Amino acid sequence: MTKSMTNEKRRDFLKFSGVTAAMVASTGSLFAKTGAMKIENGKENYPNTTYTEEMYRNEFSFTRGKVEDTGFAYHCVNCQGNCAWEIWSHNGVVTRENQSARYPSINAAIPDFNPRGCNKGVQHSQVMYEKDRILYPMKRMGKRGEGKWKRVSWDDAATEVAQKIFDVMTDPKKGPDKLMVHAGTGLLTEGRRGGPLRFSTMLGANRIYPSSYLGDMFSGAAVAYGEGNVGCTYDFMYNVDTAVFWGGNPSVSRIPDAHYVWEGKYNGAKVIVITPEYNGSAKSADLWIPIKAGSDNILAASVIHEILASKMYKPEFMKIFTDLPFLVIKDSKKLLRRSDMEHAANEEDHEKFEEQFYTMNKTTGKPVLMPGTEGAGGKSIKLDDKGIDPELEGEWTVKLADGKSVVVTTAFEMLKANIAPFAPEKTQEVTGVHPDTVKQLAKDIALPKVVTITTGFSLNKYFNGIMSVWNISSICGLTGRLGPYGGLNTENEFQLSGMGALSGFGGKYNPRFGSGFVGEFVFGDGLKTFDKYFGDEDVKRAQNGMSKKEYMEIIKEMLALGKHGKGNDESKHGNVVKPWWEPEVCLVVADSKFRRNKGTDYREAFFKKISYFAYADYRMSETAVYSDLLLPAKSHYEVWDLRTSPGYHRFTNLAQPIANMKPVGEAMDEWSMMALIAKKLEEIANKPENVSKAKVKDDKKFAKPGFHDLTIAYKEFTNTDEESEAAMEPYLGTDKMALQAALDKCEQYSPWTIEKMYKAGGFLQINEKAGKMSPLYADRPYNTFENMLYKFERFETLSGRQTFYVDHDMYIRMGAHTNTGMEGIRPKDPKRYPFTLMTPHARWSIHSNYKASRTLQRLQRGVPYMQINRLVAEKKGIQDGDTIKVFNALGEFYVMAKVSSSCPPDGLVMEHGWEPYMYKFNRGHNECVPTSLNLLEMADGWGHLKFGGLWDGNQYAYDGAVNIEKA
Amino acid sequence: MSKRQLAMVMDLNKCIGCQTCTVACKTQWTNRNGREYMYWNNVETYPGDGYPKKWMELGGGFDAAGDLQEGIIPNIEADYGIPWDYNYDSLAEQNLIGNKADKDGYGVHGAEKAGLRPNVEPTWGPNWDEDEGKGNFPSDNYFFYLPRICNHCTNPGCLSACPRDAIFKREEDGVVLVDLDRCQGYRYCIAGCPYKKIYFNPKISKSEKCILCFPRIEQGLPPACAQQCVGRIRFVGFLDDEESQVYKLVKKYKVALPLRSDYGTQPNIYYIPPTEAPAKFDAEGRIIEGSQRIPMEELETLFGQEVHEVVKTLKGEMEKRKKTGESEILDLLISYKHSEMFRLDNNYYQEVAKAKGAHPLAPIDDRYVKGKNTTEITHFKAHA
Repeated sequence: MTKSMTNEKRRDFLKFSGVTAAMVASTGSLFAKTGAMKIENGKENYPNTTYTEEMYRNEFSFTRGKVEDTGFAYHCVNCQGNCAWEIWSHNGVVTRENQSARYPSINAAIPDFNPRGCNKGVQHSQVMYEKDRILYPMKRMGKRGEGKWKRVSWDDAATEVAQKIFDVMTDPKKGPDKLMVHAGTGLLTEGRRGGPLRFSTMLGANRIYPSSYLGDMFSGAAVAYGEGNVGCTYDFMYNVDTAVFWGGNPSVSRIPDAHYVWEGKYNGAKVIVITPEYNGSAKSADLWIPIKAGSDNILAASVIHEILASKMYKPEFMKIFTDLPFLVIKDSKKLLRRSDMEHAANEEDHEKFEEQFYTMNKTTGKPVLMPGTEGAGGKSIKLDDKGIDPELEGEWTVKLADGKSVVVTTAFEMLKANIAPFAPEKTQEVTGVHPDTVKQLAKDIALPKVVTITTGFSLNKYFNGIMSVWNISSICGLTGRLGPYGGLNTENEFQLSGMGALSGFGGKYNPRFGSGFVGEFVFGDGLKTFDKYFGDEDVKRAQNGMSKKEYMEIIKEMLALGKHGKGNDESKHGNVVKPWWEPEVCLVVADSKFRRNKGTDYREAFFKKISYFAYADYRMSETAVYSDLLLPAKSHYEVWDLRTSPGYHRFTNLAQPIANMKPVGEAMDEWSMMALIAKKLEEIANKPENVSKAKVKDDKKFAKPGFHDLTIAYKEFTNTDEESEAAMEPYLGTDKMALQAALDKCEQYSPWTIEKMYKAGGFLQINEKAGKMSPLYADRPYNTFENMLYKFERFETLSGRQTFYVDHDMYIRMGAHTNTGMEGIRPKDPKRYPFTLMTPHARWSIHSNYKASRTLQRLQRGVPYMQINRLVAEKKGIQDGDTIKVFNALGEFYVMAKVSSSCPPDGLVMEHGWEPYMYKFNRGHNECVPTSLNLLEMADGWGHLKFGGLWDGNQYAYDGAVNIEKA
Repeated sequence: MSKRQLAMVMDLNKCIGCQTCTVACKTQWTNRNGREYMYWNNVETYPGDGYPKKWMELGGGFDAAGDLQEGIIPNIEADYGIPWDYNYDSLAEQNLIGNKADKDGYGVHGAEKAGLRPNVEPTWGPNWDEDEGKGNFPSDNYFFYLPRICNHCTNPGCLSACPRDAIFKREEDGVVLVDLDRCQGYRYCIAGCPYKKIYFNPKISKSEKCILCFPRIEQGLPPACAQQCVGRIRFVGFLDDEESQVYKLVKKYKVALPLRSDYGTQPNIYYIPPTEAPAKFDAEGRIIEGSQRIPMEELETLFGQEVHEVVKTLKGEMEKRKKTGESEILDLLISYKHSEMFRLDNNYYQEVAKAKGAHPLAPIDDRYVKGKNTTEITHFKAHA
C-alpha cells in the first residue's frame, strides 16, 4: 500500500513535473514529453480538456450507435416485469440497452411507469454474446452430461426430431399422448411462445401447467374468487392507505414497480412487510413482521380472529358479496342445497339443484334460494330487489325433502367456530408474532379506506400455502375490499381476445394439458422422495391428523385415477382429478426442469421414463447439458415479438431487432424452428411407406376429426392448408408473422401497428377492452372486481360470491371446510434439522436466467452463497466466506456462508435459481428440498374447483428443514 | 470555481438496492479496457465495509486547516476484489457427471469441481456485504443502501493530490475529469480522494473515474445511473437553476445533504437521508412505537449534524401530507414524471460548444433538455 504525500511535498514535486504528453495512450508505456504546460489550478481554466473529452465522447457515440438502428426489447424469462428497452448497436452488434422510458403518464397526480427495468435486463447485451451461448444444433455423443457433442445441420436436427415424433405418434402401441411438446417459462411472450404451443396442440402432444409446477399458482385465491390472478396495476399502490406485502419483497422481486410502494408511502400509505427475513423491502417499511417461515396461514387465521372478535367486519358487504350467509347443515358440515329440499323432475334439473343454495331471510324468517349461484342461472347477485335480507348468524331447524329435520346454521357461524382456536395469544408460539402486533395488523387492514394485501409468490411454495392465500382473501372479504377499496393482489392479468389465432386451431385441436405439480411429481418418482423424508407426525400435523400411511394410499388412488386423464374422461360433470400422462419423446423449449424440480432423484427418474429429449434454449443451461439434441434459440434482442401479460401495467411491449443485426450463430426463433420441424414431419409422413399410417387417431376431446393428419403438418402449422385458407386464417411460421397476426387479431391491441409501436418507443397501450372484472379507465389505476361491487356481477364461483365455504369431502376431512390454520409439513426436529431452508425469488436472477452472468455474479459472491444468522454462525464457528455443507436425509450441497444480521436464527436464506453445475459436486440446493402433494390442492371436481388453468396445485419449495456444518 | 455546477440528489428512502444503476454504468463505461474492476457507480449496504473495503478508513480529503490528508491506495485483490471470470466455453465440453455415472448421467455425486466456476477464488467484491447489516435479529438489526458515484467535488481531493495537475474541473459544469493525455498513473489522486472514487487503470496506466456521463448530458441524456434508475431516486440538474429539483432539494428546502462533508472536499452529490425504517421490537417481540431502528449517530457520521434537522423536516412533511395531502417537498421526491427529474440545459451546452469554437453535438433526446438557458425546445418537436 502506498501513502500519499502531504500537500506541501506535492507542491515541491510539481515544480519539476509540469510537462505534458502529446501522444495517444498505449498500453502501460510512459509517454514522450513534447512540450511543457503550466497549470495554476485545475479547478479553473484547464487548458487541455479536449483530449479527454473527445475520447469519452467517442466512446459514448460508439455504444449509442446510430439512433435509427435502435431496436426494442423486453426480457421474457418468466419475469413479470415486462419493460420497454431501447437496444443500442454498432454495425449490427448490440452494444448495450437503455430504458425507453416513454410510457405516457395516465394521470398527472400519479407517478408514471418510467423507467421500467432492472439490474438483469440492463445487462442482457453482455449475456447474449457469452461463450455459453448455444450457436448450432448439437447432438449428444457421450453419456448425458458427459460433455460430448457433435455439431449437426438444422436440416439434420429437424429431421431427427420429426422422425422421433412420427415414430412415437404412429406406433400402434403408443400415440400422441406419448409425445410431450412443451414450452417452459423461459419463454413467456404473446408472440413467440405461441409457436411451440401451436405445434403441441396440433399434434395432440402432452404439456403441463407451468404456474403449477413452479409453485406460482394462486390456488387459495382461486378457491375464494374462482380466479387466481386478481389485483391491481402497480400504480394503484400510490393511493392506498395500507399496503401489506405478505410474503412479498417488492424491492427485490418486483423491481420495476417497487417505486410505487415507496412513493405511496411518501403519499401517506402505511407499508407493512411480513417476511421471516429482514430484506430490501422491510428496511423501509412502517411495520415489519418477522414471521416464522410458513406459518402465514396461522397468522392470517389470527387476524381473522381479531377482526371477528373486535367486530371490525362489514356485515352488509358480507351478506351480498360472500357466501357467509349461506346455510350449512350443522351435523354433516354440508351446504344446504336445493336438491336437499326438493326432488327434481329430471336429471338435468337435479344437477342444477345441486348447485343452488339457501340463506335464512330475515324478512320472512324462512330459507330462501340465493340468486346468482352456479345452478341458479342468473348473472346478478343483487339481493335487495328480491326482498332478501340474509341472516348472518343463528341456528334453525329445516325439514328436508326426505322428511328428516336437520339443524342448519350459516357459513359465517361455521367460520367463527373454525377460527375460534386461533386467538392471537394462542398463535404466538407458532408464528412468532406478538398478539399486539396481530391486533395492530388487523386494524391496519380493516379500518382504513383503501388497503391492498399483496401476497408474495413464496406463500404458494409452502405446504398449506393454499390456506395462507385463502385466509388472506377471507380477511379481504370480511373487511369489504373489492375494486377501489383494494383487496387481494396476487398478480393482475389483462384480457386478450383473439390470441387463439396463434396457438389454437379454432377448436379443431385442443391441448392435452396435464397437471403441472402432479406431472412433475410423477416424472420424478415424488412419492419415493416423500416417503424418504417425511415422517408420520409431519403428515399428521399438516393434514389434520391423517396418518402418513393413509395419506400415501389416498395419493396413490388419486394418481391412479388421474393416469392418462382416465378419471376425467369417465366423469359426466367435468374434471374430477389431476390428469397426467407418461410421454416418452420430448420436445421442450426453455424449461429449466433439472434445475427446478425438487428432491435428489428427479433427473434419474425422469430419464428412466423418457427415451428422447430434444431441447431448445439460447444458452447452455442445466437442462441443456443433459439433453439428446440441442436446438439453438434466438434471445430477446434478435426477435420480433410482443408481450402484455401479466397486468402490472397497461402496456404491451415490442421486440424488434436492431437494424442489420448480425446473426448469433445459427440461432432460430421458435416459430421458424417449429415450422421447420413441421415441414420435416410432413415430408416424412408423405413418404410412400408412411402415408398409410400418417393419420394418427386421437380422442375427439383433443382432435375433433378424431385424428391428426401428419401429411399436412406443415400446412396446418402455417395455416396454408385448405381449411385455414378458406377461413382466411393468418399465415404463420415466423416470429414476425406471429407478431403481425397478434396485432391483427387481438382487439385489445387495436389500433396499433408495429410501426406505431416503434415510433411510440417500443410499446402500445392496450385499450379499454382489456379489463377483465373492472373497467380499465383511461386515467385511473386498475383493480379487479369493480363489476361485482357496483354491477353485482357474479363471481366465477359455485356460490357466485366470494367463497368462504367449501364442502368438498376432503375439505371437511381436513377441517378446512372454511378458513382455518394448518401447520406445514416441514419436519419439526430442532436437534436434527434446526434450520428452514428458504430460497426466495432472487434480486440477481429470474430463476436460473442470468444466474450465471459474470456481470451480475461480480456483484454477488461468484459462487452459491447463503445467509446465516450472525449469532448462529458465531456459535457454530462459521466465518463469513467459509464453505459450509447443508444437508438432510435427502442429500447435501455446498455453499459459501454469508454471515448476516438480516437472517433469522432458525432459517437459512438463499436466493434461488442457481444452476446445479455452479455447485461443488454439481448438485444444487434442491437436493435437500422434499416434494409433496397437498390434499386440499389434489381435491377436485367441486364447483369451481375443477382441474384446469385456474385449479391445479403447487409444487412446494420451502419444506426443507436442514442442518449445516463447516465443510 | 467552475461557472456552473451539475449536481445529483439521491433519495435513500426510495433506493431499493437493485443495482440497475451499477450495471447501467458498467455497460456504458467500465466493462472494458482495464476498467473491469472499477465501479464508477456502486451501491453498498450500510453499515458494512463498502467498496473498496473500509473506504472510510483509507484517508484522503482535507483537514480543518484545508491541508490534504494522507491516504491509502486500496489493494486490488483485498479491497476492490478481483473481477473473476468463468469457464463458460467449457460447459459444453466437460464431464459434469463424474466417472461413476450411469448412461443417463446419474450418479450419487457429479464431478467434484463445479461445472461453471470462477477462475480466481472470490474473496471480496463491490457488493460483498449486501443486505447483511448490523444489530440483533429481529429487535434492532438494520441496514440501508448507499449508492455512490464520484462526488464531483468543488474542492476535489484527487485534484489537489495530483502531482501533475492532470485533474480538472470542467468550467461549464464542474464535472471532475482526469486529463488522460497528461496523467502518468502516479495514483496520488486515489490516496487523496476520501471517497475512493477514482481508480487506477492498469491497462493504460492512468487514473479514471466517473465522468458524470458528460457525453450523454451534452446530448440531452441523463447519466446512465440516473436515467436508468428504476427506483427513481436520482435527480440531476444545475445548482444555480432555481427551477431544478436539485436546487430545490439542496438549497431551497435543505433536505439533501452531502456524504461525509467533514472530508472537506465540498461534494456535489447529495442524499435524502434514510428516515424510513420499521420500528424496533422489545425482548417480548412487542413493537416499540416511535423507535428509531437506524441509529441517529450513524446518520450523523454520514451526513453531519444537519441530518437531525433534515429528519425532522421530512418527518414533519410526511405528517403534513397525511393530514392535508399537501407537501411540495414530497411532491418533488415522489416525482410524477420521470423526465422531470432531470434538467440538463441543452441550449447551455450548445452555447458552450459554440464559444469554444467546437461543433455543437445535436441532442439525441428531447425529454430532459430543459434548464435555465433552455426554457423552450425549438430545434425539434417534444413528445406529448
